Amino acid sequence: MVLATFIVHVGHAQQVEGVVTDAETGESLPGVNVVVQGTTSGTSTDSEGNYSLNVPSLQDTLVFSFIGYQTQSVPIDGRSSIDIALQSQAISGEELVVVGYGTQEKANLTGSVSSIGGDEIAKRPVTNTASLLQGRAPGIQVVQNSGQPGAEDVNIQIRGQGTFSGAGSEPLVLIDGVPGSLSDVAPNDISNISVLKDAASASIYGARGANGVIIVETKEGRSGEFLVSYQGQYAIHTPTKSLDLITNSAEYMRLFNEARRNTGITSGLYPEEEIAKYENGDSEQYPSTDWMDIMIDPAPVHEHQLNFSGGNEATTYRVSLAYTNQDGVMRGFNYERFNTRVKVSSQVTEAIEFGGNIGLQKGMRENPAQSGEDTYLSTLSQAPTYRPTLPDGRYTFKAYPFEYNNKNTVAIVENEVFSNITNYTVNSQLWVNIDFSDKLTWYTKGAVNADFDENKTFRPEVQLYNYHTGEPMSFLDVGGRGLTVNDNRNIFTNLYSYFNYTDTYGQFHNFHAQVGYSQEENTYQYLEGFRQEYVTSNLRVLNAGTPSIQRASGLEESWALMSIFGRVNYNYDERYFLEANLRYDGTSRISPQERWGLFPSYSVGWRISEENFISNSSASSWLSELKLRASYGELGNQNIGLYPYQSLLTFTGNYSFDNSQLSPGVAQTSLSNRNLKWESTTVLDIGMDLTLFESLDITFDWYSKRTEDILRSSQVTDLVGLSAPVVNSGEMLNKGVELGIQYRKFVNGGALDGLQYQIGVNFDKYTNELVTFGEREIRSYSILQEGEEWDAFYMLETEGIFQSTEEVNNAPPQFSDNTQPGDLRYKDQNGDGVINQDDRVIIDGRHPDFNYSFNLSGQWKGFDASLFFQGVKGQKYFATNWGQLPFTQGSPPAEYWKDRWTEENPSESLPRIYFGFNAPQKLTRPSTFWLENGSYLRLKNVNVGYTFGSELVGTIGLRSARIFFSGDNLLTFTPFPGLDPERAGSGNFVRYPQNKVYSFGVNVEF
Amino acid sequence: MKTLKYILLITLVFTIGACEDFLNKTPNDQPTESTFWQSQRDFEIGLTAIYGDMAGNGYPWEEFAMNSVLYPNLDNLTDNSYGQHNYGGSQQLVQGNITPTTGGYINDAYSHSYENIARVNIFLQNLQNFEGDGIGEEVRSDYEAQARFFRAFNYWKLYFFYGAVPVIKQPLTLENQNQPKNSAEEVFNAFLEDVNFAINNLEDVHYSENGGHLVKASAQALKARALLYNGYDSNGNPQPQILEQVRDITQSIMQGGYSLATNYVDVFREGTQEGNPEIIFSAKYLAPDKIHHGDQMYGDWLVVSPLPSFVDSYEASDGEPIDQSAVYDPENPFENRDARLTKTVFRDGPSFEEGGAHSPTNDVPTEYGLKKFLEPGHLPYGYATLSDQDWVIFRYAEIMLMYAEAQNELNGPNESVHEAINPIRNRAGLPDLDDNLTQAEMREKIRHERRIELAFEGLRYYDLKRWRIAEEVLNNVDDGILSYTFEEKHYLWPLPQSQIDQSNGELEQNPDY
Repeated sequence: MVLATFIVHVGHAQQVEGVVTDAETGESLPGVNVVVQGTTSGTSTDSEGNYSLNVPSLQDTLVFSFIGYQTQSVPIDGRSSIDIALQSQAISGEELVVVGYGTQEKANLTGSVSSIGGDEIAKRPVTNTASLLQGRAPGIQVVQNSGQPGAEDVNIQIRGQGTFSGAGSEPLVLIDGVPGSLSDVAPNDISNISVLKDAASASIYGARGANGVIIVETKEGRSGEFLVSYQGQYAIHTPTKSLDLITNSAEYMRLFNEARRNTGITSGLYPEEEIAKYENGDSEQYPSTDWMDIMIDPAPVHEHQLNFSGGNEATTYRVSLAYTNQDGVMRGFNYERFNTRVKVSSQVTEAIEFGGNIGLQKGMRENPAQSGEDTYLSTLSQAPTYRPTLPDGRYTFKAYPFEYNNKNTVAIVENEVFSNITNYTVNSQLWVNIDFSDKLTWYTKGAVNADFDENKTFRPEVQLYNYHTGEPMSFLDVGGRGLTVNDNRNIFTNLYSYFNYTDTYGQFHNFHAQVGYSQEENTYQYLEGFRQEYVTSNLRVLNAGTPSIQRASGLEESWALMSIFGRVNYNYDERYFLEANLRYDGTSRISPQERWGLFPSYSVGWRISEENFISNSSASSWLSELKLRASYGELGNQNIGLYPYQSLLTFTGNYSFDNSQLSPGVAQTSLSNRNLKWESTTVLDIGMDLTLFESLDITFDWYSKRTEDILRSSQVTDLVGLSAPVVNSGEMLNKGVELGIQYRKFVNGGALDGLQYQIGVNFDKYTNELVTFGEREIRSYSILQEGEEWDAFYMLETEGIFQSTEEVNNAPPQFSDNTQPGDLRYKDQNGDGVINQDDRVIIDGRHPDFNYSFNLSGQWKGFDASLFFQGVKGQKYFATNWGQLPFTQGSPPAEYWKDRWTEENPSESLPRIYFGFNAPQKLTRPSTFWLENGSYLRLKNVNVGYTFGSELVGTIGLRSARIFFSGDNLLTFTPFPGLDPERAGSGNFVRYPQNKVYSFGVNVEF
Repeated sequence: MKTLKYILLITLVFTIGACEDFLNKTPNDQPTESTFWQSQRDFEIGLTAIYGDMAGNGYPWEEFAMNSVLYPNLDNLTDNSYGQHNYGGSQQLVQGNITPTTGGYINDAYSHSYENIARVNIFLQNLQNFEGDGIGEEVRSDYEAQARFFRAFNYWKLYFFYGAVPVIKQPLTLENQNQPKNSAEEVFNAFLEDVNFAINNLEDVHYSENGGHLVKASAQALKARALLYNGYDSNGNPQPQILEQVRDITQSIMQGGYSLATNYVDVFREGTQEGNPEIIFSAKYLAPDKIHHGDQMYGDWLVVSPLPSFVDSYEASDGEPIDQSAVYDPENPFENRDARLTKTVFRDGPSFEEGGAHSPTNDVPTEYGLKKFLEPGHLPYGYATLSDQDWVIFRYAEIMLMYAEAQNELNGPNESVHEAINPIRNRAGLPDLDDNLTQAEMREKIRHERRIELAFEGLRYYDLKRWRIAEEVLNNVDDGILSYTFEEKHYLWPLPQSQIDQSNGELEQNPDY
């Protein structure tokens, strides 16, 4: 019905024809959309760039649009032949870049801003928007920690870890100007992402700009054309890697016995006659089960997007619908998502334009109640000596009572011991822009973001049996019993308004000023209910449970922020640039005396290429653009706790004196600090933008980012007996360089005539230093110490394996260990003749040496292809337990443990085998033996497509159609022995696996 | 004109939005300091939180040393058992890798003690500053006595583990947080001051009659236990002046109406704890909202694994060691034994005479597990288990054994010594001790009796230390999975390195570390 209103009848048709070329190269452009403005009638250019179109009248206007080029509107003015040269969007000096509260011409930027096109990031077949930023611009470090559908746990840092405050180092994300979350936007709705990296660009967001700002602009409709496009893709996900484990039961059992004996455990060994049964017996009764194989399967994922867009001269609109359904590669995981986004704007009068933007999302995630990592390690912990179920379908606990495992994950999945998380997000905005004159405008936006999460977790009681005897043994470990329902509500409101004033004095003095006000308020509530006893596990709502054991809890909290901001730009003849930004923020989290903070920044730029001595010289033939810029400014961080300055007591320490009634308790549990103030970050950035031969863009930045008065827990001695107050103390310094290189080439003539290709390289490197901290703090394998990188690895260094008793006796004694041949040999770092905790040293590798990425892409005669590589160098991980330490909770050792040290096989690299968590300290003590190199280079994405022009598909009513293959994480080069080197830090060796994706899709425009 | 309309509209929105209080936000789920401590009810609630702090949930990764439910884990530092999870760093400690940076108990015994002390200090300061009506003198001193009992308990713990530490009697702030150490003697005197105040001001009724609140005997029991720790010098020689005090205090408790429960397990099982004549103080729990995880920790996870040598040390039912007994059957080692064996230890998995059994999910490294505190009514054991059996902190059997020990050291194995120890043995189905034991023989019998009767109540480490036999006993454990090392200096632990580092030089490390 809605569509019908847009149908325009074609009257007395007249024909217009012509050829469309690239303005730079003169080459003809195939596939360009040509539409009569305000109608749906149009066509595309053929492979020679020619078009021919019937128009209602020769007084109409034609709109030429093509990806990567600036759209042009051309009045026909009675002509019947119109040739057009389209300007590439990448041409310097005319590209607009989204900055805080507005846009600027790229050539005029004096801050460090990276801009990423929506088309580029939508190439990857990934459902999580945040992951798509990976490797797309220098200085942005993105780590996806998990491949779990809907819970990818993506960590974004801009220019390294800027602070150690509890506030974290996550950047501020703005969706169409309003704080939000990247996960609330479907990838195909993104038109552009700007990353503000330095103080000059981010300080207009003062209080929250310290970790950088990511600004996402969603796509909007264009006047003149009604477009319907559909994109669909079907993908298969498989894990990027699986572990090679000893799953032969007899081998497992023998090694199990050896490990237990080495550990000093003499009970609970597999008798030799039982092992023999597995070697010779029936494989149903005495199996060698590969549990990983049972739990992991290739997973299908499909995605559909439908977009409608168009408009007339006054009004444009875009409506999109998206659907994603992603199964996990492990059984029991699924994510399903619906998105709609409506964006409308209208010029109501000559002076007034208003618009609205609504994004709705419903996400439904299902996963085993104890999360992805737990499911993986629990599966890993199962011995191969039994199957998940007995022959009659009952669930297995163990084959022998002395075996040791975690929960039977097949039973978890089949009994639906799941958490179901349903998330509804509403992002709505309304804005109005009033032009008082050519020089003065007033823009106002109001937004409400509402998030509703419902989390239901059901834990039934499932009996488990002995695999051999069929006797009941235990109940499935599901972490409790009963139903927990948790309802979360978060309402965020934001209202901001600003005036823009632009003027030019004389011929050369260009001036722009902006001043505005913003206020934000956030309220979060949750309500949780629990009932333990359920008659049936099919009825999973609270009322189906008996009220004998039930609990309820709830919470409500809020914060607010009020701000005034401004910006002044001045340039002389577009050669010399000056900019100043200022923000004055007040926060509810800090006491009234200290709550207001002022965040200024200043920047300068010099476009050398515009100087007469360049532009009038021969250098101008190759030096298309050269700009130097420098900026300095201050940013803030207020994101620590909600009420850290107030002296509060806590409801804690309930006690039942008489065993019949519970009395409430209240105690002071922490110190407060009324004198809290803002954490501040100052950034100095010096950069250069260079373009050579109109085709090679080089952007270079050097920065120094210093965070002071860090909001952190004070170091308080235990004597105080209360948890530490938040104080302003500590200083952290990140210094780094960023380099981005883009090269574009259009081949003219020859066999490859018409080939267009791009090569891009991004590189960034930073060093982190904890400048001021206080007394050092030692963690289990890391240290916080002034002058070192944050949380530097701190452990013993191993130097091989003891090979003989003699070697042990001649070596410095190691702790009070009962060191034997085959044990790790620790290095005596301080040369005092004994190995103890004083021999721990700082080991490099907590932060990467550098990050890099490069991409190649090309288009030729309808074919397009791109390759995207991304890598990290010099990052290490301290990763242990399941999959690494043999027999952790019974988990089968990796195959390589067959090469362990024994008297017959005196290995130089692998020690004796010990038994899981019972392994002695001499093996498990944090040492470099467990520290792994996590460097990697991976083929992040391959994308190959072919576009059918309208001459081919026009007959079936399509404007264009593209089919494509997209592959993600297809190749990885890494020395890391764990599952995937892409992980957010140390910890357990295993994670929920990352995905390798093979995706096929189609893109159709009607 | 149209433009003006818009301008007015936007201005209106801002006028509504911006008001003075916009940036004033306070939490709705926490009282503020300025509004609390205003009535007797507030002080009752504050006192409750002091009790509540002692009754933790029993998850060892959340709380260690303060937690009653985790006392059994302390036996993992001794010849009684092995701790496969290394909670509290028990494996490092057993192996003698005791340094200021060992962590685990070395840190937690310190921090948890001061945490509880701070809670008491804040309570006492507010009580002292309270000027309103409604709290009578008697109530005031009773509150103070209850609070000071807990402070005493913690100072004693600090004294026991570290010796000399700072004595803190006022709430501290960031400005005065660094305090120098007091001598061990001063720490003990601070303990005595508090415990004596508690003894003098707590209700003098049977614990079962005081609604779960502390009574005089609870404080007396604490004082006796602490004094007994000082009852031997560093060579293990008895100190008669101190032992006399122990004897007198225990004697006084023995006149307070306490008696042994009929069954050994009654003390530890849920249905038989309320009104139990043996319990002098316990940490109380109430399902479903105040629970612990003792059944899960010991019955399913095997946080404590008794050693075979410990199991072998139980006498046969004829009162003889198993290698000398005529009734002991190596084929059926759990039969014809001290009845406490099958109540204290299970093999492979817990099972109960009254029915019910459990198959543990965790490893059973020594073949044995700890059954003593398990409640059959809570089967099966797991995360959903709502354990609420009270955790006994002082009970009459310990008082009798303390009396017997002090009296034997002072006056030899006289009749009163036999009268104190025999009922405990008889309850376990064992015969009376031989009337003709020498003082030295009786000493060994009492020491053995303590190891068995009080097994896993967290007292073995205390006994080994105060008798000065830790080196002799621990360095000879040969079935412990770990290789045991105990040196002279380990009688006191080092202070945590982090505390030395952060003290601005105020805090001195213990000698030898």
